[in-house]
Amino acid sequence: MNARGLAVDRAQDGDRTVVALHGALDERFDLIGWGAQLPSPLVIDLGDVDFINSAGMSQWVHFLADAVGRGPVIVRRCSEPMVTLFSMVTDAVSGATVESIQAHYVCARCDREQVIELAIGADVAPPAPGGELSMPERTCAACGGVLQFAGHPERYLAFLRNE
Amino acid sequence: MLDAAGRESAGIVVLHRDADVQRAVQRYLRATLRPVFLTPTPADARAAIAREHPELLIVEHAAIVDDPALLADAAAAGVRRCLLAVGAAVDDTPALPAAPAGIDGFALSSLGALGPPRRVDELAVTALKLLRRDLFGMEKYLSWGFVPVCHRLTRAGDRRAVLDGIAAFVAERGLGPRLRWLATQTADELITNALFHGPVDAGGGHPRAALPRADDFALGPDEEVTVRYGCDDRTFAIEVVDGWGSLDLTTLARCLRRSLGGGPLPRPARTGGAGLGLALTAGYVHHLVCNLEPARRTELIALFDVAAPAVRLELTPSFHAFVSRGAA
Repeated sequence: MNARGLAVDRAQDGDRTVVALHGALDERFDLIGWGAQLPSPLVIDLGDVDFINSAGMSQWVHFLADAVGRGPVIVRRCSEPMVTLFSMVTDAVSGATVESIQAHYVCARCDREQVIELAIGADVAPPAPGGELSMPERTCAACGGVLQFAGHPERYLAFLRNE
Repeated sequence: MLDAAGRESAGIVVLHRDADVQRAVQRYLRATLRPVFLTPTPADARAAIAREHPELLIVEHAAIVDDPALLADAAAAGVRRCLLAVGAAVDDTPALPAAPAGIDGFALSSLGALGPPRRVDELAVTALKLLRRDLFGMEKYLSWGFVPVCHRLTRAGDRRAVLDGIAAFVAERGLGPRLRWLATQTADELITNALFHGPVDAGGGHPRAALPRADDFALGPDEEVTVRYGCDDRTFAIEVVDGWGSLDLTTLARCLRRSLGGGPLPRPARTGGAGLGLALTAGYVHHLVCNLEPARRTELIALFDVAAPAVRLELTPSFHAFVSRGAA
């Protein structure tokens, strides 16, 4: 839980509107209302969303649906709470292009936990028909040991099957 | 076999088709000190019930599908507690039976269709809770002597302070950033459920269900919500209790079916609560325990395994739902 609620940044990158969400996505922030006038194409940075409850999830789904209805939407640096929802809830990322996600890794040697950013396509690929989802291994920056994904790829990446 | 008071203990009848599962269950039930009678078919179970007069019947859901009258007949024969194992996923339960009259302690369990339980002590705890009519309290899932942090909410807005407290507790004990968001999101959903869906009016409606979740309002003396949390070396636990007792087994099973069944949850409504709080919770926790005492209290306990270096999100968490009739 983040006491400050949700903070938002907005910038322009050429013809693209880039917004970044920070903090807790919940009932305290009117995301749907705030996003109603955002022009497309739209890039949404979700790397700093560290909490989302069911009220926030409801807002997110409809905020995104409205944005997708206006034009192309890219979501990037999706934090683990967001990716978890993408894979649990219908339409949680429908219509948007997921550019990159964050994933929680743990070092098999030193037990250090690390959040790794993975690019969809280069690092994590949508599965072929009948294929399995998998996460790449990484190297621990602290000890050089093998970093392993702390979870089940089939569960975490389930949203890729729906894209 | 005699119990601590020198009385003959009534036994436990287990109905399961698989002999390996039967043996595993028998091993897990040693802690009860009750005689255990293993039966492979409903007919064998009926014979054992008539012969042994057990107190507890443990039965896999498939057997109830084959013999829908078994639970009611067992209750008529004097069985007072029943544990129905519905499998790891609730979607194998097309027709969850209600507790028949006469059964005063009823539980649904996802103990992997009774085999094998993901935690050795889960089945023993579940059986003991039923046998002792002692359903409530997260202490049963943690090491003896652990000290919980307690909050009594007197306003709906107290929720945020509790969540901040949980976040700080997790951080201060080095339990990791993943548990921080899992625990706070879980607690938020459980508390929200108690605040907004727990209250019932004279007509049986839920007068606060449609209120905006941002609303702050005072809770009357009978409306207070209690939150406790704590951990030992293996488990972090959150317990949320309300004094309404309005969550029923059918609603609970419907909520959990969405999540434990493996398919995606439905698209949420645009306004108000998403209606998915409990289903989401089932996706965050390792074990979910729901203790229901109709019209008196609802207690939801979320358990997270913290023994591993990083808390893992499980494919399908285990859950147990207990319904008590009368004092427990």
